[in-house]
Amino acid sequence: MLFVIQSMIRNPNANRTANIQRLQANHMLCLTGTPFQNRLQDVQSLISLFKIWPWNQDWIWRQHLIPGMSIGDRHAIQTLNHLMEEVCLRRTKEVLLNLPKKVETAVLVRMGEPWEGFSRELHEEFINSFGRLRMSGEPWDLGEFFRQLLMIQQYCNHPVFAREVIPNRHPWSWRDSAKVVHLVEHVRNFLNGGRGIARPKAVIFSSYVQFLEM
Amino acid sequence: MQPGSTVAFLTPERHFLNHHSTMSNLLCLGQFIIPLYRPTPISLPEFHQPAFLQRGTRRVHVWCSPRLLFGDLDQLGSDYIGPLLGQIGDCSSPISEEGIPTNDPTIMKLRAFVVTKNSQAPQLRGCVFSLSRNEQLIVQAFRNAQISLTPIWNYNPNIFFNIPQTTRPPPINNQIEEQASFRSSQARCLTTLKHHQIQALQFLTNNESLNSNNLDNLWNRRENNWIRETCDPLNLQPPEVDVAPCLGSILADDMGLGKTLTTLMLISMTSHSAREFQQSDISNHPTQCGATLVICPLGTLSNWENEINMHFGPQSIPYIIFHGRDRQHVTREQFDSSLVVLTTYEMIGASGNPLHSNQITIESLNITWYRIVLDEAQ
Repeated sequence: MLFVIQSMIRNPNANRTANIQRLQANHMLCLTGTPFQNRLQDVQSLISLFKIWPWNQDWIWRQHLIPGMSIGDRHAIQTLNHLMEEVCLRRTKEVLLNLPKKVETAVLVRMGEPWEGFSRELHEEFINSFGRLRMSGEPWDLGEFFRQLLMIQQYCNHPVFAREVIPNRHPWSWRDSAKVVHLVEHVRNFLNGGRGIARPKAVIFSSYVQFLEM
Repeated sequence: MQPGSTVAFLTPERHFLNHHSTMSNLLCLGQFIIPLYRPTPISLPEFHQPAFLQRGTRRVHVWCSPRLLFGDLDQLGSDYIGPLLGQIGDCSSPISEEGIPTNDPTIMKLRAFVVTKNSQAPQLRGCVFSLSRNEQLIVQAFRNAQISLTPIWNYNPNIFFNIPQTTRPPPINNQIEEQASFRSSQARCLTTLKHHQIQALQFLTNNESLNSNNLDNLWNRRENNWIRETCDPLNLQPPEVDVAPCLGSILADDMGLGKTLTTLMLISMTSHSAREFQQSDISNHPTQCGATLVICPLGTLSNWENEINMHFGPQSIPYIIFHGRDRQHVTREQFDSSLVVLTTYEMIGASGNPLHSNQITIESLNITWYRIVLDEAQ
C-alpha cells in the first residue's frame, strides 16, 4: 500500500507526473501525510506543479539544487529551505496536539490451566519438526513451518486458534484468552477510578476481531 | 565527545526505554550554518568533524574532537550564544538518549559539526535541542546573534531519539477569522475548526492569492545569486510562452491533523471566487470550471465523500464522483454545478487504459479547473 501511494507522482519521469502536469488549473494543493524523503526529484515534481519560473525548470534542479544538496552546499540548503518554507506547511502530532506522555508497559500473562500444557506441546512439536531436534535429511516444508509458527503466536492470543490440534471440552469463551482476561480486569480497575482520574475513558484498539465476534 | 554518528546506531530498545522518561517536552529548534571566518591557519583536508562550543572570556570557541581549537564565533555570535552555554569555560554537549535530565543546568544541547571544503570557508553546522519552555529564549538569542535557525524540511525524529521538531506558526498577517467568507463557511460546517487548522487555512489562502506570489519574490532574493552567477545565461530568460502560474501549497501535516477538513473549508471559503472564475470564461477553450478536482487513490475516495457529508450540511458542498463506468454519464451541467469533483489517479491520462482508448478521462474533458487537489501526492 505504501508503495502505491509513494509512487503516485514520485518519479518525475513517470507518466502519471506528466499527465498531472498537463492538467490545467488555477490553483494547486498537494496533500501528503508522509514526511519528505531525501529524494529531491520528489520535491522537484511537487514544486514544478505550481508552474512558477524558474522553480519549474529542470535546469535549476538538475544543475544547481540537486548537485548542491548532494555535497551539502550551504547555498543550496538555504535556497531549498526557504523554498519549502514558502510553499510547504508541515506540523506533527506530538507538537500540535500536546498529547500526554505515552506509557507503555509490557505485562507477562500466564495462560493458566489447561492451556499451559498444550502450549508446551505445541512448542515441542514445532521444535521436533523444525528446530534442533529435526532429523537430517527430512524435507523442509516452508508452508508448514509458517503455519505452525503463526498458530503458536495466535494460540498465545486465544487457544481457539489451535482448535484443529487440541481437544476442547467446552464452548469457547473470551475467558480462555489470558490476555483478554487481564485486559478486562485492568480496564475495570481503571474505570472504577484506580488511577484517580475523575471521569476515566478508555479506547481499546484490537485486531482480535474473530473471537471478539466483531 | 561521542562520535557524531552514535545517534544513528542506537538500538530500538534503547530508544524505547528512554523516550518516555525524559524526551516528551524536548524539541528540535532547527538547524544553523555559521561560516567560520577565523579558522586556525593550518591546512585541513575535506572533513566533517563533530564539534562543540566553549564559552571563552570574550569569544565563543569552536572545538573539534580531539582537542583541536578550530576557531571562534564572531563577536555578535559570541555575545548572544555564549550565555546559552553557561559560565565562562563551560562547553556545549550533544543531545543523547538522556535528553536534558532535571538536574542538568544546560539550556540547550547541540549536535554540531565543523565542515571544511577546499573551495569554501569552513562552517559550523548543527541543530539545537531544548526543553520547550526555553524555546523562546534560545530562538531570540539566535536572532540577536543574526544566526538563522531554520526548520529542517526533511527532519526525521527517529534519528534524534524521537524528539519532535518545533512548529512555528506560519508568518501571515491577514486574520482569516475576521473574514466574512470564513465566518459563513464555518457556519455551514458542522465541525468547529481547531486552531492549527485555521492556521493552515491562512497559509493556504495566502499562497493562493496573486499579490503574494512568494516564489517569485524568493527567486529575486540575493541568496539565490549563487544560481544566477553560475548558470547558463540563456536559462535566465523566462520562456517566451507565458505559462499561467498555478498558485498553491503543499500541506504535509501528520496524518490525523485534519488535512481533508481543512481542504474542504478552503473549498467552501473560496466558492465565490470559484464561481467568478467559471463565469469569467471568455475563451471557451478549454472551458473553465469552478469545481475543485480532488485526485486521490481509489482507497480514499469514499473517505472524501464521508468527510463532506460528515462535516457539511446537505448541499453545502455539492460534489460528484468521476470514476468507473458511471463517469460516462456525467454531464457538463453536473461539473458546472459542483464545488468538488472526486476522481482517482486512474482517471488521469491521455486515454486511461490503452485497451479502451475511447474512454473519457479527466484530460479528455479539456477543462481548466479552479483548483486541483492531489491527495497523497508524495
